[in-house]
Amino acid sequence: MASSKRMALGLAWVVLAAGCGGDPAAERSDPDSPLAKAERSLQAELEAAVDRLGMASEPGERVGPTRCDDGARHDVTSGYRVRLKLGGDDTAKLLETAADFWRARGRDVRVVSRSGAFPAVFATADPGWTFALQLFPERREAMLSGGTPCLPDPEA
Amino acid sequence: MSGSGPRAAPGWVRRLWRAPAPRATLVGMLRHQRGQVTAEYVGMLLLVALIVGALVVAGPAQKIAGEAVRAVCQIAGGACTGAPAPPVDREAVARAAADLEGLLAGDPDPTAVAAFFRGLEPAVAEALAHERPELVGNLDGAPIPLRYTANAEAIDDEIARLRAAGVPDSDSRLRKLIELDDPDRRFLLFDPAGDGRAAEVFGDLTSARHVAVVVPGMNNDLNNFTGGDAERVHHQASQFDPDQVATIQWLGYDTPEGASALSSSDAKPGAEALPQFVAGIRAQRAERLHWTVVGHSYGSLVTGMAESGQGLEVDETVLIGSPGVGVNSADELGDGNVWVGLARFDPVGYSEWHGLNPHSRAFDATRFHTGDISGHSSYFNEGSESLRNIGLIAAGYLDEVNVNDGLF
Repeated sequence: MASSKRMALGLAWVVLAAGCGGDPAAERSDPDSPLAKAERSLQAELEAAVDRLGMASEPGERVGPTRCDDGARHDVTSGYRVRLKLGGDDTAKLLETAADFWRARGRDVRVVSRSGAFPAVFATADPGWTFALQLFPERREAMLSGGTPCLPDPEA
Repeated sequence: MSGSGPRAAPGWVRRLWRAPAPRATLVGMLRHQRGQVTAEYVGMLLLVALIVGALVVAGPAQKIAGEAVRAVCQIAGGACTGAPAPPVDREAVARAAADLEGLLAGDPDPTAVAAFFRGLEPAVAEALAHERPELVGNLDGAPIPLRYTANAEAIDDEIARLRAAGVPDSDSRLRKLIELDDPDRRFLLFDPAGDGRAAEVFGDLTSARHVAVVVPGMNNDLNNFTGGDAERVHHQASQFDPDQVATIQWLGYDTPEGASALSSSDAKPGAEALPQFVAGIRAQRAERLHWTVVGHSYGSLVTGMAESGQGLEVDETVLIGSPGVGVNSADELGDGNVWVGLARFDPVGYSEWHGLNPHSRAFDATRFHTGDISGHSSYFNEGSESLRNIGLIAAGYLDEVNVNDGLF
């Protein structure tokens, strides 16, 4: 049931996006480009993290490429975000679950602000992958996000 | 400023946390109301489509239909075209244009520009933005929505000009302009001359309590402009203070390429333009706002020169991957807090091409963690500790920033 709702929400979002502009860059991207492959890999890892955390989520959102300043003129990094619903979850346990998930994948992991207003876990991997789970307890929300390494922009 | 931590956050920054409830939008409703079932969503979409369709078919209701289409598009976060323009006094528009040209001849400051627009009828001002975008779009002190309108017109005009000149759509400049010609994108600056300049806004600059300007470094021009760094800062900072942050990707200077980055000559025009740009927004936002400037790489030199030599004053200065800022101490960068981030293996951040490394202890800024990112180009990476700390600073959550006393 939850997955069908998620699919319906995703479908509605796609319909709206298609009707009111959408993301032309995403539509034009070469699916075989290194950037497109990296985006798929990033999305898969974050979706796997969603499953591992077992939290209700909204459809993921691609974050369009931005320039890697001072890199090659047309190198870019893309991102991906998933908003999660923070119920009565034990935030310390969520942080540990996320940290364990990324450690098991060989990522370097840092947990920050355990007792602060916005606890978070960050993970990195060469040559420039970034992943994070950030908690916003007052809003009862969390965000999983990540970024790709700098790669040639297939649109350039 | 002590290197052990930021200055105490002003009381008003802490009070800013009391944010109003997020605005309800159609997209937001679809995303947030998880108790709905699929049929309800489909039904709602069909109902909206039927209402709009019926209004369009009914001739006498054409005006209402136009407004309905625009309203639906706005709440859906998308394009809105075809709305009928209100009637406007043509002579008044011509007079306003002539008066504005006269004002500009005297090189007015932004407050004088703001006062001029306050004296115009709204319909006349709107018509002026549509008809004379070259006067209004980049005019510091002009009303923010009018600048958006004017620069959208200017982008359209430039696309039309290039096409009329036989430039193919595959041309890199034209392709970029077509990408920027999006009703969801808003520009406070658009200038296609030479390498081009642009300033793109994320969030509601007319109501945000926090405003952050991102100043990029070398090898940036209109052809590779994305606005993505500011978009990421906006999204991250908005997690901490929803609906209260606006950010601007400010490509307001001709950035250096290659070895010319070793000279500060390209930074000087930027350092002169940046305070004027900020003053233009302040002229439209009389209330006290929380201001941040984020300078990356050569953009940190522009920021440093603007603050040390051109009188730019902001609450938070964030320097990342900096080759030096033209001065050797945080104290020379005005009265606000100075924050510095440096990633591992960032060759530019250690170069000291333009003065003492601001990440050094002697510079006496507050150093924040960039996490485990490395190199010169990852400070704004989605999901990075660097981006989170920049977002916390931009949102005024200074006590939550992960500062460090050592490297990284």
